[in-house]
Amino acid sequence: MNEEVERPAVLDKAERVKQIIHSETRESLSTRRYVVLSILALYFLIGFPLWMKLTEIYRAPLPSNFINMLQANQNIDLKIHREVFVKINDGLYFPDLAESTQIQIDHEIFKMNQDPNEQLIVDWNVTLRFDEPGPDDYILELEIGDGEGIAVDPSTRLTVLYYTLSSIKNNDLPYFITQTVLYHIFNSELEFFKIKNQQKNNKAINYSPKVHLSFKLLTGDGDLVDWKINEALDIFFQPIVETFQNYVNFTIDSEIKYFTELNLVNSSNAITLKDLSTIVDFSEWDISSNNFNYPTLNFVLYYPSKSVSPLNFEFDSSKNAFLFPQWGSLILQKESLKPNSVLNEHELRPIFEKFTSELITLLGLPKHPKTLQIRLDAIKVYSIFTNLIRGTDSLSSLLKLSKSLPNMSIPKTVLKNVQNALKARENTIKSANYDKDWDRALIESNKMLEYSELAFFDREMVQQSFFPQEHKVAVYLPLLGPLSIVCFLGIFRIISEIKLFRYARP
Amino acid sequence: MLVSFSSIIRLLCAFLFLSPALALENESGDSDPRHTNNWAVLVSTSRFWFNYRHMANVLSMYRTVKRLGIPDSQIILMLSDDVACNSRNLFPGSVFNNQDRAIDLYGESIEVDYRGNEVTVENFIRLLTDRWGPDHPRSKRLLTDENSNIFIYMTGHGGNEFLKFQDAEEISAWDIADAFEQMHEKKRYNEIFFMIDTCQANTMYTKFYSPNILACGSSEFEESSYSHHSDVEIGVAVIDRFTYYNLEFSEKIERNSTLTLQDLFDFYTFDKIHSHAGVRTDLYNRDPSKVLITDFFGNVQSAVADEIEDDILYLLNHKEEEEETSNTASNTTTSSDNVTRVKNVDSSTINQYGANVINIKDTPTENNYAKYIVLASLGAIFLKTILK
Repeated sequence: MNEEVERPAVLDKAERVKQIIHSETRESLSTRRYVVLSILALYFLIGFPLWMKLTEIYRAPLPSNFINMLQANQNIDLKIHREVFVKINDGLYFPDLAESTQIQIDHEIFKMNQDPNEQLIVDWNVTLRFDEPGPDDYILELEIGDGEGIAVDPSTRLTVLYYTLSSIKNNDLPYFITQTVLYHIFNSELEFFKIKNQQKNNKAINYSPKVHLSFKLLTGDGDLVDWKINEALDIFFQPIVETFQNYVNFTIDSEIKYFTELNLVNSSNAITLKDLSTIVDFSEWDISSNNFNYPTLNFVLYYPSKSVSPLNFEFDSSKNAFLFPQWGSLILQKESLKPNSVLNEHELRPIFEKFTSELITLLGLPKHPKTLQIRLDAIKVYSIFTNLIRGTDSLSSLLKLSKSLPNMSIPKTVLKNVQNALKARENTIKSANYDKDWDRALIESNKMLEYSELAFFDREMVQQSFFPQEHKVAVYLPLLGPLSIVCFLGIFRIISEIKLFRYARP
Repeated sequence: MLVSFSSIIRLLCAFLFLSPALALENESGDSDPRHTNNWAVLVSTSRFWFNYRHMANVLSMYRTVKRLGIPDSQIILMLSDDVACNSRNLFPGSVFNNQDRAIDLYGESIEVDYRGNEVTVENFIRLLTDRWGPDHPRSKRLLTDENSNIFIYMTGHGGNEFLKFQDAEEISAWDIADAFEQMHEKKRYNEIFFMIDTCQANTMYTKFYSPNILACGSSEFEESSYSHHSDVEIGVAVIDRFTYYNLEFSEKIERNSTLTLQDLFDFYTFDKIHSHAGVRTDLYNRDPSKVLITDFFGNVQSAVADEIEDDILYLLNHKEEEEETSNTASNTTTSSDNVTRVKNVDSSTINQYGANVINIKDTPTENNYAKYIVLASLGAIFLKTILK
């Protein structure tokens, strides 16, 4: 049965072969083959690689292992080793004081690290030196007094430890020195590095090497007023600027604004601290600005208008300075200003004391000890540490994103910035560990942070990462439809012709 | 019939999955706001005069957040077309969101950050991820940090998991989700409140996966959002329903309002909006009934009365004098070395500001434990005799 069915088909095929052979010359048949072959070659040898090349997403190879290692072991290679120069004024000679104190200090730090609450997150230590100190070094003077005590100089890095002859006899001097160094001179610094204190302080701004300070005099009325802000800044504020210059650079402006009214429902109502956030109307006053690419802190001296003066404070009117976390500070005066009054520099002095105190809080400096230099050193060293952490965070975020968004390109500039960041990190560690040059280390750590942010915020890395299937079809269909269908049908024809010829040959 | 049955099952499933999540939220939800600044990103995405209402929507929101205290510097306003100056506008320079035309939304002070053709998908993604060239103005950037609460409002024409921008391109739910993840990775927000008013709006927030995002939308999958009413003289619809009722609610709010987001969500009903408004809370770890509206719509900065040091400047300004005195003092001590070696603490030069001497009396050699034990045992004996 089957053979009977096939036979006419075979005949049919043979006839068709004949038909084809007679309809066209052999030459044109072979030309068609070459045409099809060359189109196929074009498709696969040029078209396909070109398509792959053009749709390829460049992804620079980031040093992922190293960054992951850094992220897993934060600041493992950073050593913060402080030095204190001991001066003995009374001509007494303690041959083994250095060794015995060092043992005590090491033990104390070891004890801290054993306690899960007190644990330090960085390799911190302090060494005593007995040679001649430089001008900016920590000095500990030993003086005989009529009792044991410590005096920390409020304006230089000098601490005096008073001891008695009996404390020498009982061999307590190393203990006293250890206590002084760890719990008085470097107490704030150690507190910064304790694991339990790693919660972010919401009042302070994130460290930035540049900060803009904007001093504003605001009054509720339109009567002309003036303040001797230039003089006050020159006289009172200049030392602060100089003291801070290795930590932050300040840019300063000042402004007087009139007709800035309080959002009071009823002027006779008592003003409580809680109301303050609604009474003070920053958006109406239009005093916030983002003009600088570094943080701005605002210091506002506010005088109410005559219609609401005197303000009814529920709190002590001498405590009229208020801190707005990460924004700035406001001093709210009770009485309005008389028209044409000029605030001279002496009237501004107590105000500047308050502003300075708030500034120090806003920059995140510790409260103790009194000595500004020591507090500044503490935050400086801590900023180096946090800069490295923030920088490493940025880099590892970049890494995570590059993994989770495979369609996002990673240009060469990103790789370069990552490398620069890692280089700057290396320099930071070098300056901190070997040279103990904290200023240099801070500068380098700032660079690390800057480069890592540049890498993360690279403008090339914006791409619509998701394309729905319909979109792809919409793009490729015009291309595939008219062109490819013709080509592929041609190929099918050639193939079927070859088959027919092969059949006809035997 | 089949459809309704499957939707019932879906609802049941959703309920089963959601209920343990809700229980967890209640346990861990702390209502303490941790933000120090507020930002708002307000986007209308459609072009042309007949989409007047989208511009009105977004301008109404702009007015609201500004009224509640977010300064212009912290509002990013993306306005896809300029209907105020359209030649078809019978009220040139004005935009109204109600036929009573009581409030001119365009008003006196308005700061549009992205206008007309600048409102593109690319710019929106760049804005969220803050990836700009070095010459991009700061006033047009979203300069948020880990203490920022961001309110994002979008309106336009959308569909299932996309929102059309400018009649030419569209943003997908994945794109926004990925952008939020990038913001999360770089710690660029504390919390985000995402609100969207478009057709099938609820599909837009289904793809989010980053934490601390609260989202709400005007309508469900395969459901349209509708406009509220038209103004005869303007000739087109002036506001969308969802936005209209959001505004109606927010008109009640003052800066010290204690109304919460839950109150807002409860305010949405099918009667008002004519579509099913949706809320997504599973990424958000606070209970919306404890989150004040002003945590997102306003910029309420809490004041702190801080302990003030009043001598920092004094000390810095008097440093030099002091150094001089200390130098002379140390000279005298070395010369009179033989006379007296024991110095009085109080007469020390360093101590002229007083109160800086910290006594370290309790020496380590003294053993106090024995004392305490003896005292305790004596006390015990005493108590025993009394009780007898």
